[in-house]
Amino acid sequence: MNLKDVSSHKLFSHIYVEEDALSYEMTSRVISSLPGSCVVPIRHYKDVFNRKHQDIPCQTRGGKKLILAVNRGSLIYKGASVCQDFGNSEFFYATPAMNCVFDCDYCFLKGMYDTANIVLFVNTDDYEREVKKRLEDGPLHLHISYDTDVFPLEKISGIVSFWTSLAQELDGLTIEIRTKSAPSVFTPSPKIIYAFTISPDEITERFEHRTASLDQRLRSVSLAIKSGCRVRLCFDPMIYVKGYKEIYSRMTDKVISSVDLQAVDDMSIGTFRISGDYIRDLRKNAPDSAAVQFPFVKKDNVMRYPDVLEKEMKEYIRSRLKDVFDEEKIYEY
Amino acid sequence: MIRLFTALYHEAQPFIEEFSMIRDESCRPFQRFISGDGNLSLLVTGTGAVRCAAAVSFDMSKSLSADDLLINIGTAGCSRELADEGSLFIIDKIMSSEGLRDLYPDMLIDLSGTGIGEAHVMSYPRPVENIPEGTLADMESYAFFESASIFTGPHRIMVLKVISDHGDTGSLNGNNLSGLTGRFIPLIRALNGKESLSGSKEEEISFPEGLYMTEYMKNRYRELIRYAKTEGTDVNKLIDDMRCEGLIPASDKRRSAEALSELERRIIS
Ligand code: SF4
Repeated sequence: MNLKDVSSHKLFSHIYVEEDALSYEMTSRVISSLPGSCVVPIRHYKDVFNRKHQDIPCQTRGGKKLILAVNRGSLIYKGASVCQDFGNSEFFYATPAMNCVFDCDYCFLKGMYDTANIVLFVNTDDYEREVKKRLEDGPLHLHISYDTDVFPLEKISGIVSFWTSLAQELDGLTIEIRTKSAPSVFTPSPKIIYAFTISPDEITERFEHRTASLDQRLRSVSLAIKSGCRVRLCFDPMIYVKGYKEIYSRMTDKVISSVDLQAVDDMSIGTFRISGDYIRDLRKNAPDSAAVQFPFVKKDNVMRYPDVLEKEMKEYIRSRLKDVFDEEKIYEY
Repeated sequence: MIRLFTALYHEAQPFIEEFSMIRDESCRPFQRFISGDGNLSLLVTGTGAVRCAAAVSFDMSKSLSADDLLINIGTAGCSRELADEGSLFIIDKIMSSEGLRDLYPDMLIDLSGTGIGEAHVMSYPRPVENIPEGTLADMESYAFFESASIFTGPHRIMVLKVISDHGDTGSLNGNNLSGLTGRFIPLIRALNGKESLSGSKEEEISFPEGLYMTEYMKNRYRELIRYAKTEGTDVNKLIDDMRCEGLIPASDKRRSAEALSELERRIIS
């Protein structure tokens, strides 16, 4: 008998569905989009998501599972100070899902959750109600891919389309969708920002498993620009590896030569940093990854590269970009 | 190591024979068997939830490694519509007839093409005649999974059931039972040594002689070594170089701290 890990051939071998989630349209859509998957009814998503002693690397190797649930808790949160706000005085994020189809070694979700499995909340009507309520207090800038990357879930769930339609429909709502994928369908609107994380292939191959390659991301960026979308380029997180200057230099050359930078809204530069509360689990889950095993320094409970190195890395990429892009629109974190 | 648990000796017999397991006499009053290579053990728990939970706890007290895979193999009943006698299942959801919280093993192995299906099981305190449609019925799965979960994670626990009856247990005898559970032998053989089932392990790090290190410095040293390993840096060579340069041994804590900073610089740059 020859045994394979489930992940080797299926997106989700199993879909766990809360009884309360069964009647939602998104649930039917996901289930019918994944005809070969086993559907397991559950009472509450936490019965699967929050089990004790889970092992993220094992679950990742054996295939992440999808949990469809109703979010009965908070739907929109205020962003923390280590996050990017791009000059917005306040930044908020929604949690349409928890955890990610991709598998970045340094992802803070590995420190935050005890599982590799992904929860997708199907009660979009409640999110819509909550957004409308928030808009009564003024405009809202909302990140919708904070605890996840929503694009890999779009095909099976329509989650991105839900949010882009909502942004178009509701005055005062601007949404930002951050991704390491390479989407090919965009909704051009001044109220929708597509934020692409741009990483060198050497970094993607080593640390950002299952994400799109640099070429794929850059093709997608160009397509978004051509479609008339607002685009943000995030050179963040930069990851230190030996020879990083050459690696990031090659990447920057590629970006400059293949993207119409004048059509880009803004850019961000940031080196890897993570809350001190997460680093232990992150390291346990990726023992062979230089991205998280780096001997960081701790400053205000944030783990980051030593000052000198951090400055050098950011300055290196800024110096390349400022010649071709309005420096005032380059944000640093 | 794979640790098998069956309720009855007859359910255990095919594995004992196939893997030439011998009785571990130190485990009385339980019947525990172990293979010659030590990769496989089998414990006969006795029937019912209480015996099963007690046996699992006993087995876990005999040391548990992060790699150990705990497997309950047993017979179950089901409605006639669900499956024929002899059908094999891996369990994805375990319910209790007393309405306790449902339990979920991780489903990490692709069994398509093996003839092993997937099902939910409901555990009852006694054999049931009228088995509800859609689930299997047994007496031990819930207790097995719940007690095993105290010691290890859902990625290390598996429940395998073979259909023995449709609520009419009268005709079952020892030979039938052995013939039924023995159908899982090819799966157990394949699981034995499957690399990707292994959990994550932490490695011990020893400290070089000639450095006086505080706890803080020891932690920093551990971080440096782990990082160096991920980058393929030969730390022993770096330390040897520092010895040749007279930086190690360091005569006191201050010089040790300087040596550690120098080692850090060499590892990172
Ligand atoms: S794409 Fe983002 S959310 Fe997904 S694993 Fe990577 S860092 Fe985490």
